[in-house]
Amino acid sequence: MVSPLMAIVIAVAFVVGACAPSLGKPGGSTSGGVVTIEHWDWWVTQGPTIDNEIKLFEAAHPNIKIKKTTQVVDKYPELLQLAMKGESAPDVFLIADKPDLIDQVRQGWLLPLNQWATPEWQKQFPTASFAEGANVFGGKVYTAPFDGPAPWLQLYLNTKLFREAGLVDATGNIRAPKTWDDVRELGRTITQKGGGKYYGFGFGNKQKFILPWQLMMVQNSGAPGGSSGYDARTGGYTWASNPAYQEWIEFFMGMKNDGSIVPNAMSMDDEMARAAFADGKFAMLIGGVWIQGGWQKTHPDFKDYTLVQLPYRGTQQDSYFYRGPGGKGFGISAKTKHPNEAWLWFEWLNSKAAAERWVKAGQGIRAFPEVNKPEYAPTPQFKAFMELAQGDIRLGPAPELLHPEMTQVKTQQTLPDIQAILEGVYTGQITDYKTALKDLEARQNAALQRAIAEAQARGVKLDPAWWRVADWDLARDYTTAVASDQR
Amino acid sequence: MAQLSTAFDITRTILPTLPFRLGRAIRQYGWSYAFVLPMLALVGLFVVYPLIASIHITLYDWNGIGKPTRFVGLRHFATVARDPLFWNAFKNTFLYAAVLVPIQLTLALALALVMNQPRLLGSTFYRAIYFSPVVTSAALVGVVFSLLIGSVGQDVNTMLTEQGLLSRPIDLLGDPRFALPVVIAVGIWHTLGYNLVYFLAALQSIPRDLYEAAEVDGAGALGRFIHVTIPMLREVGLIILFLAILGSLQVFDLVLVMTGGGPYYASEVVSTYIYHFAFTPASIQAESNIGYASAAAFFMGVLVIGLTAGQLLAVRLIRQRNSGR
Amino acid sequence: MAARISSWPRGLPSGRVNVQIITHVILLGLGFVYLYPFLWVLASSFKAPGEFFRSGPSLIPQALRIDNYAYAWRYGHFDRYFFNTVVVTVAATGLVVLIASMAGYVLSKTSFPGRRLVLGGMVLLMFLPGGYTIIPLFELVQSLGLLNSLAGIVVVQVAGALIFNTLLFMGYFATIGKEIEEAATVDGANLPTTYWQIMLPLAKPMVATVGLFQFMANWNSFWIPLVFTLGNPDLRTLAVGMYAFVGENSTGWTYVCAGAVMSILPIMAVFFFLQRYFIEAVAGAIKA
Repeated sequence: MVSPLMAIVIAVAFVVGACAPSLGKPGGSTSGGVVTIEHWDWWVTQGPTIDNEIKLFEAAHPNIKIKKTTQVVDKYPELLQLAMKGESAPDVFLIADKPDLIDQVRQGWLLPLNQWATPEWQKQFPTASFAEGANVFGGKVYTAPFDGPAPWLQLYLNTKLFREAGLVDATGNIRAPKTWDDVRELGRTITQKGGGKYYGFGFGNKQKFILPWQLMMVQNSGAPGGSSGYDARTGGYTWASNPAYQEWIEFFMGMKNDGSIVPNAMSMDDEMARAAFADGKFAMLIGGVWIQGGWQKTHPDFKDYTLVQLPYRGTQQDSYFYRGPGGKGFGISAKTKHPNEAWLWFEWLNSKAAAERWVKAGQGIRAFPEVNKPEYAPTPQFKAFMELAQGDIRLGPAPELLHPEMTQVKTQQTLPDIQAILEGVYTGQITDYKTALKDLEARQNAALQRAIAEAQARGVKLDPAWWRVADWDLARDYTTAVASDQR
Repeated sequence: MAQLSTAFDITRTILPTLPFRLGRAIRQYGWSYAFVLPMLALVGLFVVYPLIASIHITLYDWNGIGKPTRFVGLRHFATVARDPLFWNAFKNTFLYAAVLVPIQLTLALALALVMNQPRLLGSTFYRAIYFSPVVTSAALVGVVFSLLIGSVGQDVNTMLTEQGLLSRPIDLLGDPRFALPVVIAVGIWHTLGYNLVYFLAALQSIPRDLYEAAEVDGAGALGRFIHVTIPMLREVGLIILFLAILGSLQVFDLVLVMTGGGPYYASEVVSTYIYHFAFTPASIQAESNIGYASAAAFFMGVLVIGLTAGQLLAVRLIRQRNSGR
Repeated sequence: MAARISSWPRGLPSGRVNVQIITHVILLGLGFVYLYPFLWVLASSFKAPGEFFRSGPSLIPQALRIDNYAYAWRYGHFDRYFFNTVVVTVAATGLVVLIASMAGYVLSKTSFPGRRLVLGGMVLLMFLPGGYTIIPLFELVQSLGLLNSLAGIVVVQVAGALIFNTLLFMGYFATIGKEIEEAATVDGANLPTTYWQIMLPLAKPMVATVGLFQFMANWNSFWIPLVFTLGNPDLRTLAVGMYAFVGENSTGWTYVCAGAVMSILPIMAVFFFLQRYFIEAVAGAIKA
């Protein structure tokens, strides 16, 4: 006989399996005059700030309730896509990074906001915040820029190690590196001083995007496409034809051969590298503003650090970080049953008052220049970031705004990509990096040409010459692209 | 694999006589059909149907959004078959399985034999211990080993360099020579518990009186193992072997969290190769291509089926020749 | 005296004691290697966030930070998600054991026409990839009205586990001698009675094994509960809830460890509970 217990388990399984309740229908709903707005984002560290906004908003609008769902970040695009298939779409949601915004609009996921986002409303944002082809399509507005323009990577310095190595100038400040040569020399000095206890430079390559972050040092060195390798001036990839890439590899491998890079850089992940930096295992680390918030959690007593812009090659800065016009943030679902209430929440999130609270919480800078006041910064390092953000970024060309057909061109991946090649070079599996770069350049340009040809074959009217922006001066804002700005 | 090989002569035995037999079969074997039906219905609906409904995407360039529209025919299959990176991943996958499976199964069987001793004290305790890695998620295993290698590795490295045995510190998981062996070692450790428990369950199905009889016949411990244990474990052992091979050919999580397939494809297996195409990181200016990823996955499946079928066929031919003589 | 019978090497009494000691030394040494990561997770669940990275392989936290557990419980919503997880896990595990053992039994013990076809199809499916898009499955579940329900999670989980476990049961039933079953048939028992009263009880070790693994797999399952509830906070399971600590750029590892310990404990409990079945099965075999 099967034991009674087994029988019970099986019986329970049947009963539960057959009639497990269909709980919690998502999607906005109304009950007792109170409208519930479904809100989706993927923000974990920013969660408390959003929760506070919800509290304030609900107090101001007693008839609206916000139901927030914080989704798993790397599954977000997929979940959003699935939700859009049925009746489960959230009313207000953070727009996913993939696919391109224009493709999300083509799929009919987003509600046009023009009836509320009037030119009057748009005016509170700075110039070029709404641009046809970027976040406005066919004259319809779908979102508003959330974050403010800033270089997304900086070089962090552990000031305690700098001081220990005696790298201090006459005024008592640490000798912050400006150029690649500075980085190499300072790294060597610190490593010698460390004697195996600490090193000059570090990174954590386990996630497959960290070596390209290091390569971002070319961004200010005359390679305006940074780690993408793309250069709008030629309309193609320039891994070999722009010497900055090859010279960076020589510089970085030089630093490795000096022994200045922490030995387990390849097997750490970025998070471990950040912790190791705060623990004084190495003195220089590339990262974004988010790592400051991370340290507040993991190393609340860690204050001995500062940040500078990414170092450049040679003696002067040849290029900058670039941004396009427009920008995105939240959107409203085309399927929402409560567009007016959804808009009220959208408007709240994009208000200057909420933006100011966001900045004061140190979550990042926002699209409104007037709320990005250095005196709002909760820490000296966040203040340093805000000051750096103001000078180090330019408006870049965005030909796809003039020729929206360009977004129909879908370039396919070709391996080995730059990440893999850099790994191979770093570990010594690739010795002839010049040929590898040349090969990558040829493959990626061919992939782009093939994608253009395929789009043309599908009947998309395209001119390959659109990709080339010959009149781009790397030192200035490229304003031609904003010609079609709504205002 | 005798049970499984039967699948390959379906056409010979069943199809021609199907209509005549059906009525009688249902009367005679009604309960059999009733017993497999729930399994078939659920598998058909939730496994087979989605598989069939998505197989056509192998013929498209498709980033996973909306309906696939960019038809490319069989091009993806041609590309996979010619991609040296795929064959590198294929080689690593087989290396992984070829090293892991024999070591892990031998170790699991040995431990199971020891723990199956009624007289062994604390065998419950040991079972729980050897099973514990299985309950630890691959993500946590990845972090544990990275931190372990980071700090222990540093001490060992410092010692070795001071002794002059090493000119440069070694970063185990970041070194192309060691990445795959380390992943394999961790793989053996991580899933041994499953096979241990399978073997234990199987050993317990062997009637004790068989051992008794063997002992009466004067068989020693080794003799009893060879003449009783091994023959009795044959059926279930083959299934354990089959599942272990298939499982290790599909290894994914562990490689992803430990090395991501790197450095420079040194530990890339087929599943991570596919993953790189299905989920292109946002930093790379290129499309995810789920069409290509699916084609590669399908290609791998067919390849493994082909190899297995070929092997079974070879075994059968050899047997026939031997019995014919 | 059946207890005397074993395949264990025999020797002089003193020699046997030595063998026992050596066996235990080896088992314990190897056991530590096996238990280490679990102990490490346990230790880390009491560590401070910075200490987590700094202390490397150490198994001794600087101080016992029990509030990690309070935090993980509260922000991982363990109270709410625990119920969902139990419902899904118990239902899915019970159904897999029942359906797979039924199918495995008839596939191994009867030769109904079509058996080879079924077997061939199952083996083929084991090899083929599950497909790289979840969309058809999602649409199917949606059209069945099972989206956003625990029942939706259960059916998809069960279906996905059937082939593997049916093969396991099939292999196991094949090792059980024909005589027992034939005796039952002579007594006039029909197939369901034989299965329920004779074969399934004989398969207890496999029922326990499959039950344990399925319990674990369902308890820890992440992707299916996430997709088929679209992350709905009311329907989350513990494994999905755990991602409350995984941010875009950083992870609250000490909370993840505390959460992992809390969600592993029920599995451990089940394991020890099922141990009884192993032992019973062994005892039963010896008596017979």
